[in-house]
Amino acid sequence: MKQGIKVHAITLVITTAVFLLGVFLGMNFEQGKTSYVESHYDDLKRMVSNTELEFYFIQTLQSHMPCDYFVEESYDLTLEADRLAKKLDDYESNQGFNDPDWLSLKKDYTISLIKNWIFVEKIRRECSANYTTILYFYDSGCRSACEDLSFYLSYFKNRDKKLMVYALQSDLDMQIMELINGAYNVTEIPSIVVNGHDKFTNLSTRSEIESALCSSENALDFC
Amino acid sequence: MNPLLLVNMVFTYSLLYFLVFWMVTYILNRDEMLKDPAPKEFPSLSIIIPVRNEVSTIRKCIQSAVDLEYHGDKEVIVVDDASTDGSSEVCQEFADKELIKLITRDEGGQGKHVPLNIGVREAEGELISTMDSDSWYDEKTMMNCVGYFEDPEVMGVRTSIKVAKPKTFLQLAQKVEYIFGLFLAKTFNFFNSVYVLPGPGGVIRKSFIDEHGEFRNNITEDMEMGLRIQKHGYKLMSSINAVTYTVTPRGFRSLFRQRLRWLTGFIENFFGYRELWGKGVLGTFLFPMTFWLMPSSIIFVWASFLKPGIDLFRSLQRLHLVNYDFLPFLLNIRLADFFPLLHINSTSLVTLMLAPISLFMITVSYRMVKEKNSGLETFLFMFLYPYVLAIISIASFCLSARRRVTKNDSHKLWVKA
Repeated sequence: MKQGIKVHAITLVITTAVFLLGVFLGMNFEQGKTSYVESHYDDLKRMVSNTELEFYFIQTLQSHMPCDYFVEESYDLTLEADRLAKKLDDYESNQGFNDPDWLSLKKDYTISLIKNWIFVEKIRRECSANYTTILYFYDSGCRSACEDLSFYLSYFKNRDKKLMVYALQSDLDMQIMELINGAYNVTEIPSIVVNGHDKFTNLSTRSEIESALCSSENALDFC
Repeated sequence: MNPLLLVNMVFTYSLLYFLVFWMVTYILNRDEMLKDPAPKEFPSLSIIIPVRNEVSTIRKCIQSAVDLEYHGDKEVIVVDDASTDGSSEVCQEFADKELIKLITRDEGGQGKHVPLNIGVREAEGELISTMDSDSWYDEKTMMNCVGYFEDPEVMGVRTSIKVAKPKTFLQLAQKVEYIFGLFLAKTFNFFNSVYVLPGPGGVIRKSFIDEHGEFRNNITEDMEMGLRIQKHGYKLMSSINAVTYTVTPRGFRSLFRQRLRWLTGFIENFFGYRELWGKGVLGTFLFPMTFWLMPSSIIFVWASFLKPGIDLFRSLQRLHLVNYDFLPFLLNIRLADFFPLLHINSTSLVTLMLAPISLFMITVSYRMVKEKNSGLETFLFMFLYPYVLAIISIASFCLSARRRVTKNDSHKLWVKA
């Protein structure tokens, strides 16, 4: 009996210590993940600000618009935003302890993404760039329909790099999202806006989606 | 907090506690761990071998019983339970040997307890050792365990069962499992918590059977007998040096059948021996903890394996939307796309704390039984085998919940695939 109590006591101490060590390591890992994604977000933010500043400089002080340069920048920005979006999605689905930190990061990312889209759209119009921008609206409650549309957009994006997709969570509690939702009258989810002016909803089949994407004035390879 | 996450954390803590408890028991008693009492007396011994369709191993099994070193009277009772694969002919080869009594049944398959009890009734020895026909003795098995019976409180002794010549990945993982099991069983000794008298080589006093009944019609009659010994306040010991060898299932299907029987038997005996609940370390810790770890392992498997697997399956399933044109995805795939499959997050790091404790115990187990450990078998046991067992746990809980226990059901699980 006495040995039983002694063993239980020692076991309790060791088990709790090991368990707490695991929790501590886990929380540090979460913090590390947050820092890692934050640093990538900072890179993106810097890229966007840098490119916007370049554009402003050219517009204000220069006469010649280096369209080739800015079109290339658009592709780079969108690629970087895309990579960051994947990291955010992956980490969101594997969330551990610190949910509020991710939400804050996601909001910051959304602001950068929208700036990215505005810049890319501006270049597309001013330089007659031959890419197509898609604003894709989803929300946190949307499951199957959004997952399917997201899958289709990934598929078409992989088929033609000239398709630039910006996924926005419509129900994020942010003023800019309210503004954009209002500007495009986003009432149904999922929805897409092609090149900043044509809105499409109730897209469920491949042909419908393809048709919507191909309505762009710029020809995509798969159209 | 997510309820699944909470269960996962509680499971991890429970399993950690369980492992650490026996690790601490080992550390406090390590001088005693490798010792079995030296025998001074050699009560007469009856070895009972029930046989049903084990032609590949029965010769080796019977021969090992004949060759078994024992300094007292010994008899070997082979009960052929109407085998149809040639086992009967092999048994006949031994019929004329002096030590052997061969009993042949015309009708078999009513459960292992039937040929066992036939053997018990024929037995003249004070001690009875049962031997499964797919297992065999080491020459010194009985010399290393008979010393325990000098304590009149000891009614049974279990041997150290090792896996014979593992070949497949599953058998390699089972090798580690069995060796780890030897370690645990020996530590159970210190709290009189051994509760299974396994078929391969388990030894029991005939007087206990005479007083408390023969082997019962139970899915796991060896566990039932072990718990009966505990129930009546006697001791069931585990010998580390009394080695027997067994052939383990090669593939998933046969392993599934075996473990389904074991786990279902555990659940039914757990409830069948409620009087043991709350008594000693067996009733307050080992029994309830084992019972808890089984279903909670399902949550663990779900969170760390099944859910990511289902997510991946759903992703792949969506390929039908694009007529399985996976080439655009394949051409743009990056290494980082595979990272989510690792499912590393803060909670999985907590679960990883199980790894060093388990590794320590496996290392000690191997040293105790003087076996060589290849990294592959430990890897298989620690990182793949738990999922196999958890899936079987799910099935056994479902089966046990739906099953009506009748006397005619158990034999169907005894007959091998």
